[in-house]
Amino acid sequence: MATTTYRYLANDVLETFRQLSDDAEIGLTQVVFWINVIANRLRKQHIQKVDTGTHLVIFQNVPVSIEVNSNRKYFDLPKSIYDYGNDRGIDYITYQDITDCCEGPAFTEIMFSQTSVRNSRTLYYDPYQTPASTNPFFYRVKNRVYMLGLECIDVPNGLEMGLYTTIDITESGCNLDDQVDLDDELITILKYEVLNLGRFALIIPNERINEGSDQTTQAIRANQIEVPAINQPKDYVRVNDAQQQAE
Amino acid sequence: MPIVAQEIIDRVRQVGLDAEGADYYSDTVDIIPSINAAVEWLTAIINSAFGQKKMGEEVFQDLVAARVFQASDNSRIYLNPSDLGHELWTILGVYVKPKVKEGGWLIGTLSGVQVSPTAPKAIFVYPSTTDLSVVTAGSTVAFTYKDKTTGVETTTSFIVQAVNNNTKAILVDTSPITDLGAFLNIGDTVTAKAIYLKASITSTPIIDTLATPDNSIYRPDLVHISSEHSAKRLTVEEWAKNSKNPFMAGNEVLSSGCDTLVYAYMNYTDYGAPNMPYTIPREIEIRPSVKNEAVTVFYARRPKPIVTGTDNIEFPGFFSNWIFDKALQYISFKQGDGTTIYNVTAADINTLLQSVT
Repeated sequence: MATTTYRYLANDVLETFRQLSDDAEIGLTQVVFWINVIANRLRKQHIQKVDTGTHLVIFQNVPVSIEVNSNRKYFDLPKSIYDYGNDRGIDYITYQDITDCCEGPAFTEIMFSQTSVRNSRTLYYDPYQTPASTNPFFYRVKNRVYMLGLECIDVPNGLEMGLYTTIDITESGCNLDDQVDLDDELITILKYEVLNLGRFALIIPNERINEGSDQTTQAIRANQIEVPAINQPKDYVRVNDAQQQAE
Repeated sequence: MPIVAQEIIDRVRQVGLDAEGADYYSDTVDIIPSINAAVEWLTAIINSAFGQKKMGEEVFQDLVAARVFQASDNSRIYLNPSDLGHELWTILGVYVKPKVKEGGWLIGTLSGVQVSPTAPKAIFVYPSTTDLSVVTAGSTVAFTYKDKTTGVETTTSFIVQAVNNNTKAILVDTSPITDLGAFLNIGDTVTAKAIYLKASITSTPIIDTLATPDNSIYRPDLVHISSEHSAKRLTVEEWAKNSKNPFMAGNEVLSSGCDTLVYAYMNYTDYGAPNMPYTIPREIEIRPSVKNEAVTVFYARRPKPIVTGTDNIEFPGFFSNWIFDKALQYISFKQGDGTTIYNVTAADINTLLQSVT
């Protein structure tokens, strides 16, 4: 897990871009937003590659509801999850058999298997696969997860589930002392990618920013794009200048 | 250091006019009014140069003040010159949620009271942000309590017996009230304003609601100590556009506790409506709302005109030449156009102006 906080990372990016003045073009909120956007992508790739429980988030006692019109049992995902193939963003869903109080925790008991709307029909052809309370299935439609096999029973203690949840892009980092939920070895990549995003913001020529004054008499320099170098952001290179030098 | 007016008067008389000892030029009729006019002219120049960031804030070093105000229900502040005792020149910064110190009675926000089972003793618990390091045993605590039955409020002083700055708790002897239980039960938590400490406590102040909700008030009882939230100045157009943009200052999208939130303020506006009892001449507005909260405004006041040679011209010493040249030029007006003094000072002034504009 990461030990880097948003405060260090975001301010490091702003410092690198020299965007700490009161008239800075890039703000702290924006950098934190970029961090979350990139961190989400890196986390998704990392979880896919590395099979550990580092990023697994467990939710307990998630209540099962019944959809009014269809009478189907479902629950809404308590948090947004990564969208992997075969719904592998949901690591497991389980519930405890309340008739047996001497068994282990819920996740050692009745485990749900994944299916989909399209594939679930075939389950009922095979008596060994038919969804039942001892062999339940789940399928996902957007953020709602439906269950097959629980039609005839109640689950008073709710469900337990392990999810690979995403970083909340709009909320995470609101407390700058929170740690960025990303492994330390990925922080360098994160910073590089955030700096890349920042370059696009800084590449916009000043002439395209509304200063509120009529400057039609001045020469328009719209084609002069300033490209900040990532390692030396202050050393802007004017594309036109560089082209002229090359010529 | 400000400029002593007599130095400029002497210089004008001796160097510029070659009139030392002569009574052709009078201090009160000629030189002092010219100096005051020069100061006003310089004020206009600095306005322009400062706005274009061609002058730093040190030009205001003799004029800067920080005053704490309590914002109105509309999150607005009127910097009333008659309250402040001077005219305002320009706002240098607006700080939100300041930590303040009160001159005499310093206020700490009370988060709870526990009446000790071994009364007459009580433990007052303050929020974790309160600095109790300056409170010592023997300090006085004023406790405003309300009778449970009659609702009558009374203020009594207690002596602090022990302070724990880690748990933010103060143990007081409530002996003036032998039966504190008549007012509080064991374990009672008082969330309203109830305790004032007569020691130096730096914290976010407790602010009462305003008697007239539309009117902000100046708080001469509060001294600004620090703040982590400066507000960015926005134009009238930006004010509306930024409102729902989470990346811009002054937005109302981020929650007020968010570290990345940047407050903003809009400059003076007269919001008065002819048919409404809203007669505040001009107010600045702060967003997100700081309704009834303390706000510190850093501003430069207008330099006072000098009356005698012993007065100070409230500009730093490096403006001596500006004021000297311009005062001399004003005097030269009386001598008719094209005089040597006029041309010489005009050249000097141009040189100085070119350095900042």
